[in-house]
Amino acid sequence: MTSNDQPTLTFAVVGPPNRGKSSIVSMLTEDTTVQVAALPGTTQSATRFDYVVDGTVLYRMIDTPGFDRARGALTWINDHANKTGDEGLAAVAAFVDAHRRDSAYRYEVALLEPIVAGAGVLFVVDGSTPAEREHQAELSILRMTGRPRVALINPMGTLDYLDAWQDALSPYFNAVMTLDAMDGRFVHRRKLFELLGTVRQSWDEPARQVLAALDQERAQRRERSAQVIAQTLAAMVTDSVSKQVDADTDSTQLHEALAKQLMDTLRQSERQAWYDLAQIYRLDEQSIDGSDVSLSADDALADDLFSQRAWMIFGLKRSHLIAAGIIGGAVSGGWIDAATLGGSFGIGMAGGAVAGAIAGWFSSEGVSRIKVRDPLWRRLLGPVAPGKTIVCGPVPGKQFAFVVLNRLLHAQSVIAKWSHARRDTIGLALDKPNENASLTTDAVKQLAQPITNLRKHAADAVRQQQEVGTIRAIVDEHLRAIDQS
Amino acid sequence: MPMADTHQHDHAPPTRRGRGLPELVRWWLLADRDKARTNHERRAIDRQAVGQLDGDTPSAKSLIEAWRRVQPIEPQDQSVVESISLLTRLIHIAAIVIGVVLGISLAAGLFAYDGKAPVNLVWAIVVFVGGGVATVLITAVGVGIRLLGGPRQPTNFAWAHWLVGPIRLLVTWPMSADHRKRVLDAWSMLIRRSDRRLATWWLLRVTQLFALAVYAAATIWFALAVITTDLAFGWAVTADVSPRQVQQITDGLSLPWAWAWPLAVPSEQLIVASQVFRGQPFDAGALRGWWPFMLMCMLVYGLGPRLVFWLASHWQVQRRIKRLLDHDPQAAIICHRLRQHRFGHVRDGQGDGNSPLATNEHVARAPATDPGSDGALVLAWAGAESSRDAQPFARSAGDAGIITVGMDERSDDEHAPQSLTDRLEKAQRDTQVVVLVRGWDVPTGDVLDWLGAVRRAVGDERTIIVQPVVQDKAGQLVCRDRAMLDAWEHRLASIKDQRLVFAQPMHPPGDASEDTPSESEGPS
Repeated sequence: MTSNDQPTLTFAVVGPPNRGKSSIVSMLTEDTTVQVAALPGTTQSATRFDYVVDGTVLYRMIDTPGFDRARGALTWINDHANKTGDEGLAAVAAFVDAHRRDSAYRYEVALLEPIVAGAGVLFVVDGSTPAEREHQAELSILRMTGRPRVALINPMGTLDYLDAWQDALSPYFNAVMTLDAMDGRFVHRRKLFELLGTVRQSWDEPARQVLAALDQERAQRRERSAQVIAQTLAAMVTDSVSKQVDADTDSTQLHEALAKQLMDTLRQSERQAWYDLAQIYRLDEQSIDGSDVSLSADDALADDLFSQRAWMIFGLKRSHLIAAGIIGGAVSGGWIDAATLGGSFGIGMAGGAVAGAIAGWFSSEGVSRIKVRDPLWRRLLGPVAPGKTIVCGPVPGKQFAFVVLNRLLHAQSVIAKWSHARRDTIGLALDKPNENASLTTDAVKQLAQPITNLRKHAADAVRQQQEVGTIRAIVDEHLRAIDQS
Repeated sequence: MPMADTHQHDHAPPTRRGRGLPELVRWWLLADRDKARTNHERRAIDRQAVGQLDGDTPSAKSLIEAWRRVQPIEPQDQSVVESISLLTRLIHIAAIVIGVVLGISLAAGLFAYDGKAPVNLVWAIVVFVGGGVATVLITAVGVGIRLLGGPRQPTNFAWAHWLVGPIRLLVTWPMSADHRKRVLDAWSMLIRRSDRRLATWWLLRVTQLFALAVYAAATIWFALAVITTDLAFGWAVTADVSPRQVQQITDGLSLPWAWAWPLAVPSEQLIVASQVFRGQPFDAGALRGWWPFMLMCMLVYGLGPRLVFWLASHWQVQRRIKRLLDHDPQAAIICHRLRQHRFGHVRDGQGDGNSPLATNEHVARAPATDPGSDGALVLAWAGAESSRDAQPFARSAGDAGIITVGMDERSDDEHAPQSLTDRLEKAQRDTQVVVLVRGWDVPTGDVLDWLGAVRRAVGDERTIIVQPVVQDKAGQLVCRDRAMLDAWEHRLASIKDQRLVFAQPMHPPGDASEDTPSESEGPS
């Protein structure tokens, strides 16, 4: 279907002014170009927005201005019906035809025109304000059209009057549901289309197709996100920078310059991953601008990747580090047992596990002190001779890898549920530090070895790809679990 | 309303000298001061005013009087009012002086007699009768056009504007620069805020005062000349006019007084004897008999109409000023505020949270009022009456209660304005009309259309107060965003109805600061 053909699932999003109609449209179509503002009267005319997947328009939402003279319009429609015998949709269509050039009814014409043309009705009200009978005229006009109608209660902050609204709207609509325009979670859209499928028989099949396409889209986004995260992680834990020392170079200054260069490169890689994730979820790059000023002080990711706070928030907990240390130590000690053909009676593995656990215990205390510098032993040897190459990186330690990974997972979790109706910069704050999207202990255990291998086999492109694939699969599974929860 | 008969001068008193322009300026200055105050300052003054009230159902007039009594007087304002008073008085004096000079000059010229030739009555009749009738007609047409909504400055008032400018400059010349600026600002405010009818009648009063001075001076001069000198009158024209035709004219002109004073109607013999030709001798003694006719012509066709016009314009000026004061939107807002205090809508504490309303205890103590005597006519649009904010208004509306509107489907179901009209017929002139609206709703065209219907029902001069409610029926704050109240103000302003005012809640949402002036003066 091209964008010029009207899809079966076409809806006029109507309602009183300033109740979040445009926000609902923006959220449902994942279109950030919908004009959304807190001031009433932002939407002056009807504008259509399509949700397109792989070139196919799955559904169309028509953003409309709010009712302005519903009582006047209903009076005209009733009078016209009495005079001419036109009823229902015909009377509404006559109203639209008669008032196309009437500025007093320009909003009513704009919002009724698509309904007359066949669109279904999504009526949006604000669940944070009391329900009264003042919308009788609007509801009566919509009922006269005979089009299938669903009422959406948009909380706009609170849902203090949910029951009252449901009682008030139920007689006029085929279904009533709550839909928060500011919550972009996939599950809400799915619920809406499940409901729409039941409203009219002819919508059942298109709604199923939409649901299938949405599920597929969701899975694809998750997989692509896992791929971005895995590749970024691989790049960041293996990245290094180098420079040849010449006669005029102060090697100490060169060390610092290279360290700074490496940190900047890593920061840039991380931001690029945020952009890629935003793009996967159809969010503007501007929404997650790379400049620091776009992140508020409360945002967890506003802290520098190498800051102590970032490591505190996103680093592995002591239990995770000990678990990872035990596994790493056991694997290493296992080589001793293997070399003795079992003659060591597993002492190597046991000793390695103990050593790893001890290392994990102490490393949790010192994670934030890790800096990107040359090793101490190299600096003790004195200035590097001209002609030699200084290499800075990769950043050592498991903790760095898990800080990177957790930051990426956190960014992904925020972006995935970020409503397209929101016009503020994506907030990357953590509700509960290290608990939102961070890895489970099992996942940490599974990831420990592939991450170690990434560093170990940095020069082996094929092995690298294998390890990235392993990490991608683990991350994908992790994201799937979050999705389902 | 804002007027009173006697008050001490230390509290911005309305003066007994009448509802002149200075009184209007005084009120507007007070109203401006009130608008510029913070909520905190306003509440303090309102509380003082309410404390001075006696009786359970104070009238709007007594509310305003009480409010004015506690107004701190700004010396600059007092000085401006005095200057405006002086200015208007000097304009009147100037009009009289110039008119007297012109009248004497005209009379002295037209009735100059040296014994060689009689006074030519034709000139005198043309000037004092023809000129008088012509200017009366032009003035009547000009005023009519202006009052019916024609051009703001008909040509017959252009000269008056020219006159006012130089006089204003002359009067303000000896003032200090600051004071001159304040006086001129006040003068501009007077011109800007006065309605079209007041400006018309005031200008007419000045011009008629001038004309009255002209005719009075000329008539007196003529009477003195008759008493103190000998005058001989004759008529001379080049055209072939017979004495019979002249008699027809004089008989016609004499009709208003012929029945009362026959001597003032020229006889045929007098007319025949009075036809004079230059160079021919005449009998001066026989030509004296014209003076009663001339005197009556000047009184009836010159002085009389001017006197009537001046009295009419003076009465209209007083009436317009009284109306402006009685129906001033800011006065309505102040009354509305004082009633809120009076009936316990506003808690006495300062910085008292977001609710504009009292607790139920306060409400319960609020006296019910009789809408027929003082209580407001309260209408609620689209369910606003169910707000807790509306409860005190329901009490102040008395037994009739709140008229609910906007809940029906059809816009032509306008029983409410009709009901309002019925109730207004029984109500006093100062009964307030308050329309409650839900502050969290967007003002729609429907509500504007309905407010138009209310305006038609209550007439052009009554102030309609649009009062937003911000709480639900349980007292929970629903209107959390000031932007919604701003939207109301903005949309109401688009109606361009100066007497439709938007009253802010006493503690508007989002207005954390007590020091932010937030009372709206309505659309302007």
